[in-house]
Amino acid sequence: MTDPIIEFDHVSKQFGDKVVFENANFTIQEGNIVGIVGPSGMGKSTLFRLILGTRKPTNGTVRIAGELSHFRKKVGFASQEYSFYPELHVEENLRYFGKMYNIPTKTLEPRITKLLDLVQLSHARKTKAKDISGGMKRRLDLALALISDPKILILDEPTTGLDVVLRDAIWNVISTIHKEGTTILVASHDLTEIQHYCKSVLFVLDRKIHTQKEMEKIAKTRSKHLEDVFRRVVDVS
Amino acid sequence: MFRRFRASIGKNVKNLFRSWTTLSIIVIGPLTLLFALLIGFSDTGFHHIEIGIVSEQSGVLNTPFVRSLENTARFRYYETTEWERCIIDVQQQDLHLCIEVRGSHVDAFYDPARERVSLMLLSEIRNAVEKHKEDLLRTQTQNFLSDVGNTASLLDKSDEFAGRLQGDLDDAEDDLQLALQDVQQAQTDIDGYIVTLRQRRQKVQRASTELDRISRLDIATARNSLDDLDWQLRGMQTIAQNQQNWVAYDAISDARADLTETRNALFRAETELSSASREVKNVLIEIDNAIVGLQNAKTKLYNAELKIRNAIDTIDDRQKELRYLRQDVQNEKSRLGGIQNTDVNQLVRPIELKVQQIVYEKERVWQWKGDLAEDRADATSIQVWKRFGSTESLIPTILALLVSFIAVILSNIVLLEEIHSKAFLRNTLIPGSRFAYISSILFTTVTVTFIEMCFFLLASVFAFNLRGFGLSSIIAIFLMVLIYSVIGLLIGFVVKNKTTSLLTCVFLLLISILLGGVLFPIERMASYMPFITILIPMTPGISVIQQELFHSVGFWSFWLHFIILGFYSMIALSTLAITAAIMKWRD
Repeated sequence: MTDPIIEFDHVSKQFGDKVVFENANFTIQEGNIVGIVGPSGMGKSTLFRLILGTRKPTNGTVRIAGELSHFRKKVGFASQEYSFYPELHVEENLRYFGKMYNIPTKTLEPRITKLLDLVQLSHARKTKAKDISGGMKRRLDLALALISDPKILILDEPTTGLDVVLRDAIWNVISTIHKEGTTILVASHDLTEIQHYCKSVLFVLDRKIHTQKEMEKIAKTRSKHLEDVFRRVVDVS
Repeated sequence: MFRRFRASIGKNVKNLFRSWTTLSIIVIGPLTLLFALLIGFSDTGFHHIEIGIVSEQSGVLNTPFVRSLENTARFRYYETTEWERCIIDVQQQDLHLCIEVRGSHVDAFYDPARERVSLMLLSEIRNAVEKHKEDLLRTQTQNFLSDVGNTASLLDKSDEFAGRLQGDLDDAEDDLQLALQDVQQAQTDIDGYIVTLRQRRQKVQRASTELDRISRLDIATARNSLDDLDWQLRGMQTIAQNQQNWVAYDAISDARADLTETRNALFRAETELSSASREVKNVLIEIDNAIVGLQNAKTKLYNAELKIRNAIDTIDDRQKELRYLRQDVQNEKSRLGGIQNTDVNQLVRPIELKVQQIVYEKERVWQWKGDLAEDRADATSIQVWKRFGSTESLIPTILALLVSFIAVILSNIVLLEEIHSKAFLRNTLIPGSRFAYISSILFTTVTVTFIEMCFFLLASVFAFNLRGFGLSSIIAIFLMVLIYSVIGLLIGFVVKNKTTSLLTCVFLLLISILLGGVLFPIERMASYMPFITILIPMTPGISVIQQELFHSVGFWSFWLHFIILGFYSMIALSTLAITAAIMKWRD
C-alpha cells in the first residue's frame, strides 16, 4: 500500500455563517486516479481549493504529501475553463508558466518539448493559443497543469463539451500521465468515464464527502454500475 | 411594445439601484466629486500669494496702490539692485509676480508657466491700479468741484461787488452830472464875476485915475495954493510984523499955523491919496489878477468839465461793460452752479457696465450694456513683458494630465485584464509568484508610460523650442508615472469590476485635476487647499516641469519637490505591497 498523498482530517470550511464544506475525512493514496462525483454546488470546487491550498480550512487539517503548507508547487490544476494566455503561442504559454514556477531553463526546455509531445501539440508550438481547436486547448491546459511536474493533478471536468473522439484523446493523455506516477483527481459528471478510467471515486454530497469507494468494489456489487451506485447514494441522502 | 419597454425600464432601474457598482457611479462618485469641489472651492479668493515689489523706496509698501492689494497677496520688498533676485524667485515659484514700481509706471513680471494665476493676479493689479487712478481722479475732481464752488462764491461776491460798484458808479455819475452842472454854473458865475470885476475895474480904474488926478493935480494945486497962500500970509505976516500988527500978526500966524496944518493935512491927505492910489492900483492889479485867476479858474473848470464829461462817458462805458460782465457772471454762476451740484461719481465714473438677462420663452440670452472703448489718459500704466496665451505654457499641464491619465488607466486596465483573463487562475496557483506578478505589471506600465512621456516631452521641447529639458523633468515624470501607476493598480485591487474600476480612476483623476491646480489655480481656492493639494502628486510634478522647461531652474532647487514625490512613491509602493499581500485574488 502506497503512502497517502492527500489527507483530509475532519476538515470543514465556512464563510461567515455559511458552511461550504463540513467534516471531510478521507485520504487518497499516491498514484491513485480518483473520480469525484456529485451534484453541482455540493462543494467540489471548495474541495479542490482546499487541496490546491488557495483556501485554508476552518477546522481540521489538510496534508498534501505530508505537508500542511507550501504544497502548491506539488499540485497541478486544470479547470473547466481554459487558463492560459490566448495571445501567446502554445510554447510561450508553457515557457511563461514554467518560469513563474522558477524552473531552470535547462530543465524547462526539455520539459516543454516532452509535454508538447505528451499532449500531442508539438506541431502547434508556434501557434497562438487562441487559434488552436477546442481539443487542443484542453490539451494545452493539461500541459500547463503539468509544467511544474506536480505530484497531484486535479482535473475539473476535463472532457466537458468535447466530442467522443476528443474525450478519448484526453483520457488517453490522462492515462499516460497516470502511468508516470502522478496522482490524479478528476471531477466529472460523466460517470461512465469515471468508472472506466478511475480507480476510486469520492461522492460529494450535501457539502461533505458522502462516500469513498474503490471501483473494484463497485464492480463487485449487484448494480456493477457507478451510475446506479450514485443514484442510490443520492436517494439515501 | 410599450409594456415591454416599461418592463425593461423597471428592470434597469432595479439593477441600477440594487447594485453597489452602479450605485457608486450614480451616487457615491458624484457626491464625492461634489464634496471635493465644495471643499476645494469654498473660498475662491486669493490665498498664499506672494508678490515681490522692486522699488527705490521701501515706503512703496505703504502706498494706497499696494495697500489695496493686501487682501490679495503678501508683498516682499526688493531694492532696485535686487531686481534679478526677484525674477529668479518668480522662476523658482517662490513668488507669483514681480512688480517694479518706477515713478508713475508699474511693470509686472509674470511666470508664463503659471499663466492662469498670473492672469488673475494681473487682473487684480489692474483693478487696483484703476481703483488708485479712480481715487486720484476722485480727489482731483472733488478738489475741482470745491474750486468750482469757491469760484462760484467768488463770482457771487464779485457780482455783489459789481452791483455795488454799479450803484456807486451810478451815484458817481449823478454826482459828476451835478458837479458838471456846478462847474458849468461856476463857469457861468465866473464869467459873471469876470464881467463884474471888469466893470469894477473900470470903476476902480476911473477911481484910480481920479485919485491920481486928485493926487497929482488937485493936491498939487491945493498945495500950490496953500504955498501961495502961505507965501501971501508970510508976506502979510511980514507986513503985520512990520506993522507990528501983532494981532494981525498973531492972526496971520494962526492962519499960517492953520495953513501949515492944512498943508500938513494936505500933505497927509496927499500921502493918503498916494497910498490910496497905490492901494487902488494894487486893487486894480489884484482885480486883474483876480480876473486872470478867474479866467484860469474858468479854464480849469472848462478842463474839469471836459474831464467830468470824459469821466461820465467813461462811467457810462464801464457801466455798460459792467452790465455785460454781470450778465456773464450770472451765466457762469448758473453753469458753475450746475457743475457744483454734480455727483463726483458721475464725473469720475461716467460709464457703468450693466448686465441684463433677457429671457425669451425658452431661449435665454445675456445682453451687455455699456461702452468699454473709452480710454483715459492716466499717469499709471501696466506694461506686460510677455504676451499671454502662449501654447508652451500648456505643456507642463498637458504632460501632467497625460502622465496621470495614462499611468492610472493603463495600469488599472492591465491589472484588471490580467485578473479577468483566462490565465489568472493558473497564476494564482503558482506559489510565491504574487510579488513578481504584480511588480511585473507595475514595471511594464511604468516603463511604457514613462517612455511615452519622455517622447512627448522631447517632441515638445523641439517643437516649441523650449529652453530647458533636463534631469529634473525626467525624474519628476518618472515619479509621477510610478505613483499614478500604483494608484491605478490599487484601484484595480479594490474594485475588480472593469467598468467601475475605470470610472473610479476617472473620478479620482477628475478630483486630482480640479483640485491640483491644473485647470484652476490653487491660489484661487480655499485658504487651506495648498495643504491638501500638496498631497496630490501632480502638483509638485507640474511645478518642477514648469520651472525647468521655462526657466532652466537648477536640479538642486527641487530638493523639496523630489523629497515629496519620493515620499509619495514609497508610500504608494508600500501600500501596493501590503494590499497585494492581503487581498484575496478571487472570491
